[in-house]
Amino acid sequence: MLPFPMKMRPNDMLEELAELSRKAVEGVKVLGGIREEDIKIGTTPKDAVYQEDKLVLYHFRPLVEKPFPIPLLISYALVNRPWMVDLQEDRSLVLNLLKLGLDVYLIDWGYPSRGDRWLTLDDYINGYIGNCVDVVRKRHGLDKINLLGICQGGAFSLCYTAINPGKIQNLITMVTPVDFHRSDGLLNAWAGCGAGVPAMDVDLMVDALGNIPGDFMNFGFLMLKPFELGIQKYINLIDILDDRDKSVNFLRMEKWIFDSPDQAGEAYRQFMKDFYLDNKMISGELEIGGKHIDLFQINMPVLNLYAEQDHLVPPSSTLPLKQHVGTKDYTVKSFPVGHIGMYVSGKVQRELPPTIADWLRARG
Amino acid sequence: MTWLDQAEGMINAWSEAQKKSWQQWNDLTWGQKPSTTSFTHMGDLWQELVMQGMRAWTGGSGETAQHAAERLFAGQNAMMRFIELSTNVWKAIAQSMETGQDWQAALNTQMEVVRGQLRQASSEGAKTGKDLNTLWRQYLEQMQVIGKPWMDAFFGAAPQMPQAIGGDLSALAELTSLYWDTYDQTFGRFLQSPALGYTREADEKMRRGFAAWLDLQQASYEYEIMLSGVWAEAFEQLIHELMALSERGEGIQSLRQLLLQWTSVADRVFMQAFRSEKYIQVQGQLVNASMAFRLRQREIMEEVLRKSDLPTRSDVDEANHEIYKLRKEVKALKQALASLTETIENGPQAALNLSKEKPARARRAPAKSRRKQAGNNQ
Repeated sequence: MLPFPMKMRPNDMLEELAELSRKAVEGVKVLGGIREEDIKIGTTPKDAVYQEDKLVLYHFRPLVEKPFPIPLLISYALVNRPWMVDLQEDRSLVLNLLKLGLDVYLIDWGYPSRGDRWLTLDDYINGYIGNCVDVVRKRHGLDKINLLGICQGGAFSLCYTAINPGKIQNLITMVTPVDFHRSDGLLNAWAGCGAGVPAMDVDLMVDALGNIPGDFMNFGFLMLKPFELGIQKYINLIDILDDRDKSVNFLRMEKWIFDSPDQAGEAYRQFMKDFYLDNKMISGELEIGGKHIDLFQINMPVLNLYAEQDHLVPPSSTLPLKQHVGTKDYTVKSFPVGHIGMYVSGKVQRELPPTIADWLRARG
Repeated sequence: MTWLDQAEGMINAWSEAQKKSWQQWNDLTWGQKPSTTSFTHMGDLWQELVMQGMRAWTGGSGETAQHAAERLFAGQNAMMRFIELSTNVWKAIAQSMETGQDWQAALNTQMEVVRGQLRQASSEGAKTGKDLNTLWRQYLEQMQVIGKPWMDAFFGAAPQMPQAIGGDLSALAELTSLYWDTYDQTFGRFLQSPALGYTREADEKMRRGFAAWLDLQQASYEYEIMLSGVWAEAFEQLIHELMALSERGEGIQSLRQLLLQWTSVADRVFMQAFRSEKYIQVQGQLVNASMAFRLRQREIMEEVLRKSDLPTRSDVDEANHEIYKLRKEVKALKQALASLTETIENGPQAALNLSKEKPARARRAPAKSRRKQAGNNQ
């Protein structure tokens, strides 16, 4: 007969659960003493240099006397707040780039309200990104600047650069989806692309909701790994709650994860239909504000960074970029982490900022 | 020790461990001994009390910390319920092992029981399968209607609406007279338009709302059934993996290891299910039914709000749209003005420099056709 697979002795189980419960109870006491003001993110010193509607363009205060002359503008996704790139002092892509002498700007999209329901991709890409690029150019007296687009912000950056190649010196894309018809991306499947089965009706959703609630987006992300993200993560939390610093670090991530802005309805509609459903960015059929997007017009150096274990933007979605851009100076580099690991992994934070800084300096 | 001995030992230890765990939470929040000795009742009661107490305990902390505390408790709660389910299944398997029966058959039987319980829970929550009158009353209970005369009319219409939907003209006439009475109490005194045309529109909106609500109940039910099936499959897969461990001479050394095994298997099985065409279809139907119901609900709400001379969502959206268009026009005018100002101040060349763009590069053939061409040339 097969041996009983549960090797725990009953007393061991008793002790283990008693210990788990004790730690959980103690942990709740620790959590009870943490105030919201203890959990700050995006704390690297910065100044608001431009505002338009709900958008704020921030300039991080340089940490060297003479920063690299061509500034870097970061365009993050709309679906989360951008402060993942500046989560905390020892996990800040921005701070590390500043230490390496770069001059960094960041677009904060803000929180769309019902009044922003009519914002389109034209507003975001030709409008907001375009105006931010022009502001940075003017501030530094430059024709061209460097642009770093992250995730959906990377897709926007590709579109902007394809329309305005003369304004971008070097383009960096990070965990950026390019080919949306890849079946290994669960988000792609749920959006109904490539599966050939009727999925959710995007038009109906936008007509009913106006803006797409941030909670709806969060729920979708959590459902990609429901047990790991919904149960295991909080059981593991018990092990670190006796350390206040680690607890606060955990809560910073929690704060960022659940602080999701609503998505402006028309922009969401177009992004889902033109990018996810019809894959127009690489089919050559995409138009933003009446301007045709031809990725071949991207003729400046491109650095494409991706995460090897990315379940949100699988590598198969990112790697096709090479075939579509017109540049002869194309570099790709991967890191052995997931989507979020690109920002919070200690190893990546040691390697990623120098990768970006060295690559930019060589093409100054 | 036999399988049965080991399984029962585990079950007894688990019961004892659960009691101690609830006691620890209880001490944190209330500091009192439980007043009941029934374990199941105690566990449910304590969960509720602990959640209330925990909210009070973490009330002074930040929102993020409060949410994390609630999720910590929920995670531990989920773990304990999973282990409880596991112990019941192990007992059933152990009994079959003792009698020399195939453990897989015992597992299948036990999982059918679990699936049946999950299906029953879904059925009780769903509103399908009930008669139209009952469903109509439940629908109205869920609707929040502004304006008492209209609320009374809607509730008063309860006996008539299902028949009206079914085409009973006398019920439709009675329904119309209800609306007419209410209309007369409110706006009828001030307007000369025929009530019948007006109430027909309102009736139609209520009917569409009810139909959308029924679709939503059906879609919710199908989604829950699908999820419960996946859940059961995940658990069954876990047992198979544990038995495979046993065949290799390995085993589970701790509760944490068991939980890790469970979450790993469950995420894998759920991921597989989530990719399936069936799941995508069922999820899509649920989302679409929810959105359609929301639109119908809005139609009805707006009908009531207009009667009360209050602005509606559609009114606000229309105003926002106009503001958006005007804002865009103003931005374009400002840009044009800035460009003109630049020209006046610095001459035409400056304006030309501002707008100078390199001509677009000749487009290469799309990647697919380049590859095809390369293939043809070989």
